[in-house]
Amino acid sequence: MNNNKRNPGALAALTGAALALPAIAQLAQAAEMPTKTEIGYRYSDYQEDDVDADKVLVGSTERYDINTHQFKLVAPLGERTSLTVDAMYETMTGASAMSVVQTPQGESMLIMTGASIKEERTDVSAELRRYDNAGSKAVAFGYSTEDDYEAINGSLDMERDSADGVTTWSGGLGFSYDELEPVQEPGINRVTSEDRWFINGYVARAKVHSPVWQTQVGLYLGLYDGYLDDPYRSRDIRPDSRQQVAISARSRYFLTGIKAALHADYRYYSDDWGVAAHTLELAWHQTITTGLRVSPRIRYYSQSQADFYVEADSGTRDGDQSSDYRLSPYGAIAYGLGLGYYQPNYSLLLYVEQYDSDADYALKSVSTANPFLVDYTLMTVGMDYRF
Amino acid sequence: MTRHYRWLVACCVSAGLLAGCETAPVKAWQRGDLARTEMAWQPDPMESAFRDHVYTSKEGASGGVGTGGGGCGCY
Repeated sequence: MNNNKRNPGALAALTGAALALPAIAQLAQAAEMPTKTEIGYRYSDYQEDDVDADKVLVGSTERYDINTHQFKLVAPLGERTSLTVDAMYETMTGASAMSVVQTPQGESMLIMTGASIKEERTDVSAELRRYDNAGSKAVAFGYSTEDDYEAINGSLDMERDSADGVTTWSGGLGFSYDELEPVQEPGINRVTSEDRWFINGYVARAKVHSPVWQTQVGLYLGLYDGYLDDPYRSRDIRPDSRQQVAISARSRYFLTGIKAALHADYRYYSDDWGVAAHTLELAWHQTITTGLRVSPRIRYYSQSQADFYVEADSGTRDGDQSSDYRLSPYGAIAYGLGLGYYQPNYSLLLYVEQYDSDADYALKSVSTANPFLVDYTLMTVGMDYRF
Repeated sequence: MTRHYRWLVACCVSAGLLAGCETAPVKAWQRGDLARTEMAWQPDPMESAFRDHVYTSKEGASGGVGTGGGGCGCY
């Protein structure tokens, strides 16, 4: 990366004048020192489709409806330091699956909670990033609280550019400590207090291949240790550790003639619970007129089941076991559209996404689909303001 | 995890080839298109963070490039 990159004024002047585009705040392959203070707000409405009534034995068919407010502040602190603060507040209502049971006819049916679940979650984090001529270093801390959950987390990240500016290495280490105190209900024997640690790290290498193409490959490792069961399920026993590894590759290609950016992201994931997953996402960012951009995208996901996944719960079965659909074999297709209006001092944004999961979407055939597979609609509106 | 090692090896080799292929250095004045916001790894970090939060809550896999935060949020 060139030395000018870390000089806020020079970079903004150079790229802004050359491209006559608003709000170019960064070169794509590395974090960039902000030149202005920016505040952002997003409101998201997340709605899950109801469960089919003929799959519910007991309880509500209504799934979750979640409203989320996100706030962000990015501000320069002096010549070479920036502060980023993120805050999220969400409220949730709906019902959840407590158990999957098998009827005498061999059909999997759900036992759901009532539709009385109401919960709030607040998540706040702050990052300080220091820039120099060859990259940046950052330290971040966060705190998250729910009715039954409390967590602290922190991370160290850094980026290094090669002398010729072609390659950027980045890496980081993070931790999280979570405490869980499940809501107790009469007649149900739940744990009262548990905790877990999560340590993760990544290393990535980004490379500029041409004036219109850059790629990034990354390796991610994660390790959970502690209580990993779902305490709200009638019978859910999981190992007390989980080792994760993921390989990812990303490509960004700009089609100069039509002013469009093509994104392709792939991730392969594997863990020692037996879950392996492929994720492929393609997006097309098309500039319509100066300041107006439309971005359709599609995402495919497929996972295999965990070793201890069971199609139906049993009170007499020993050992690790869970009927959680997130550990079942399935696939999902998400498709969405983004619309953005960008001006030098502000941006207006709209996103819509539809997510459909199905056992038939999995790469390998699935004998029995979990009855709680999720379909949802996500809509987000937001704005950014720079000064 | 060992059962999936072939995929991991294949991914590592592919990723290494992708990252390692040699190209002529692109000069700073040639990077105008690369600097466009829509060419960033995450054009809208807030929206990407929220979508990742949802995917992590709803799917068995998680992780990628970046360190994870804490808390459940596992609706």
